[in-house]
Amino acid sequence: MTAVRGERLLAAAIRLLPAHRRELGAALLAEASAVPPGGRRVAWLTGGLWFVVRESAVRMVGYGLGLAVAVAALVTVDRIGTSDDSGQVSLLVLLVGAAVLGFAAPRWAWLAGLVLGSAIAVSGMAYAAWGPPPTHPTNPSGVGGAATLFVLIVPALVSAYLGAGAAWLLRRAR
Amino acid sequence: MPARPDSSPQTRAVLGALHEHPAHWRYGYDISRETGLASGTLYPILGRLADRGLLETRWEDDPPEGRPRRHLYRLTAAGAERAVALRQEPASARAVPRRPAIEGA
Repeated sequence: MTAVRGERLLAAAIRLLPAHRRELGAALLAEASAVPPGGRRVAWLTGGLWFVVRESAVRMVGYGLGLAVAVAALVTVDRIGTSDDSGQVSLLVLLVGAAVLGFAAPRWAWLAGLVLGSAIAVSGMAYAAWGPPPTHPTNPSGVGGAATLFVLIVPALVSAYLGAGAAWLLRRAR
Repeated sequence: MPARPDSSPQTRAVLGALHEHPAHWRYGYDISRETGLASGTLYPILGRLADRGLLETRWEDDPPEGRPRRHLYRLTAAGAERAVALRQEPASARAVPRRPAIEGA
């Protein structure tokens, strides 16, 4: 890697950093011009890339785990619910999960809304196609019936963006 | 694992370097040269110290033409206190090896 290419790469990679670390990333990049050219500067920039990977990977892994837990909880609650109110409980888990994830990572609120909002439909379609008969059949039934649950993406997106808005307001208040 | 998040040898080295001239604003490469820490190690430490209110940061006001503005660092009063306290604590962990920094010695 040449220093020039390294600087371009680092400048692009800084965008992956969480907001509160972008200034440090920019500082590291600006400082590169003070480092003697050649191997030392390349090493400085390589350290900068490592900084970006480390700071953003922690966030991405944490967010991914949070999303996976929310999906697992939502699908489990939806599958085991047998009462008349189980649909409302699933909806509550969906809305709370989407809001929490939207609050935690406002820029990825769309992802939380899409993934959580489609989780019940996808699991329903999988069960309809390959799994045991559902405890509370949907109407219309089958894969097509489960697919209608993709409509849950709408409230999930709304909830995720409400969470993101709350995070934004909190940040402004500080 | 260090007993406190700011008591690692690397963090001690950064606090120590900044405490040498507590009133002076220092820049990243300068600290890196003094502590021997690579940029990928130094900047996360600077970020954590700033998060904890031990470090204040600002951008350089009037950089010379042709050079980007530098980000500057200085200990806060709490940071200076912490640096003094750490200096008095026995260094249980091994010291930072005084190897030449890969970015320059």
